[in-house]
Amino acid sequence: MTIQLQAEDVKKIFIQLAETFTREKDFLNDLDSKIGDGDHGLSMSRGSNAVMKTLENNPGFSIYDMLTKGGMQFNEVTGSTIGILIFSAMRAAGLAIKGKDIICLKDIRVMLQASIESIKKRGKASKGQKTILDSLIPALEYLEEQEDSTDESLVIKGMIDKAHEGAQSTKNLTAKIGRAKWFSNRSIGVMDPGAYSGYLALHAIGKYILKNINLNNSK
Amino acid sequence: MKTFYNNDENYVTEMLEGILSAYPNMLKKANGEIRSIARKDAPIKGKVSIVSGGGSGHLPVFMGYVGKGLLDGAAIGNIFASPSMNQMLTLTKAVDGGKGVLYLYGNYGGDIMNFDMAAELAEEEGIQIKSLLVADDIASGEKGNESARRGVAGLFYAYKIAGACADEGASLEEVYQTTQSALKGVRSLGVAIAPCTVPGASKPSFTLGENEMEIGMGIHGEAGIKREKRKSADEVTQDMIDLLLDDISVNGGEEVSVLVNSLGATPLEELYIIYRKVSEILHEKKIKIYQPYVGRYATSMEMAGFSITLFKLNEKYKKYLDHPVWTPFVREG
Repeated sequence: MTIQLQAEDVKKIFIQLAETFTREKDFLNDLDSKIGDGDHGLSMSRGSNAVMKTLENNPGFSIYDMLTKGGMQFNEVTGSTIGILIFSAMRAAGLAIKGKDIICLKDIRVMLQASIESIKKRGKASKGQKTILDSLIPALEYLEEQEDSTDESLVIKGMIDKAHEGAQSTKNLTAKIGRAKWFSNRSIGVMDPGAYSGYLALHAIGKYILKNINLNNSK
Repeated sequence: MKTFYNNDENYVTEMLEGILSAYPNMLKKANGEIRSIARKDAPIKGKVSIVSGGGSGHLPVFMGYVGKGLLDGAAIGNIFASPSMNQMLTLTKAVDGGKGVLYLYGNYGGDIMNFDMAAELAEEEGIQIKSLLVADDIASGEKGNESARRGVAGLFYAYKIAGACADEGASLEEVYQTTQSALKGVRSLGVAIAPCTVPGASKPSFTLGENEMEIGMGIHGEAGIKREKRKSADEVTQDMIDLLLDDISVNGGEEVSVLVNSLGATPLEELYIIYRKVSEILHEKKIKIYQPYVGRYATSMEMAGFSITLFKLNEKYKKYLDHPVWTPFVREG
């Protein structure tokens, strides 16, 4: 079997994301208060819950609608840097699969790539600057390396691991951009909350796939 | 810190409802959106519109300056967080009088990203947009690296110049150029002695010892340039004016406007004690003060501290400072 996500699955993933960020709110706030203004967890939980509500209120949404209109609602309730970056990323992912009813592993890679490009452009950021990109880019690179792999379950697990390593690696980085740069002398040793959120998102998506999509290769 | 609010989730909305009910003849919601505040008579046909915005927690920045002679509208974010792209776009469409819109706001990443995307979408709808960042805080970027600096109390002078210039009937390009030139002569520096706490946060945005102060502290608690033992009003004012005049040269005989601004908790009494010293130092240097402003112009909730802004003047800027304004928080002329 291979990965095939339908609109209903994507909706359930967004519910998982809202639950994840609600649960991790205080931890993310705490990370952010060490290197920023301490509201990252609040933004992520507020934003992801707004996306979930939008999807619940609009049962007819296509996957494209969920990403673009849901993303707009994320930005609407949080504003701020993270709000516009998540909106840009979701919108880019939506545009990348516009018209599709089923998402396969290759689509996930294309969506992640489009999201990363939009964050780079909007945030004028690159890898190694202690941002969300530091967990997303290693995950994308792994998906690209494994392009020809037939064991999709292993690929998803690897993607989650790479995102986790990427988030952890930000502990050793100095913030170069964003508000954290004003705290750059205090930022060494602290994991970037944005990078950790990137990992949490990929973890929630990956876990949903591993749990709900039958990827047993031997059959 | 003891406070008066109902709950942190509704903090911004209830503040905006209060402002709208206090000034129903001056302000309105743009297209029913409470985070997009426009002057009551917007759009003004044939006038370039000036739009600003940013996080809450800085009153009278931003919507306190919405009105005749200053801003046409302001988009209002959560405390210390940029408003959304859509709130900016909604406001832009509501205030455009057909002559274009100048986005004039502080140099912060979140605001830039949201305003840039709003500008792209507004332009797709045929509205002409120019964006100009205010970056007056000398503590947040070395000389030569001015574009890295944050926008603080100098926003007030930016609004004064842009608003007056737009009222004269100038084009979008002219308002942009004039304001940009004026901002080259605007410099600010702040000092904090006690932090503020964002509603809903469990602790203050930074900590300072009882006998410490931090020169250059940002209006969201961003690190400053030096933390030292507290000094008297005269001593710290002298230090700050020295740093400002190192950054912007003002010769004897030239004129400046001075803004002595409370970051929130510092009382008017202390601001005038500080202004007294500013005036004495500038007088010794034969620098003339044309139009001083003393009060709460750009704050950071209940942070204790103050900032000093110098604005190097010429005849045109003096005329623009004299231009009448009529807004909830400033009424002159």
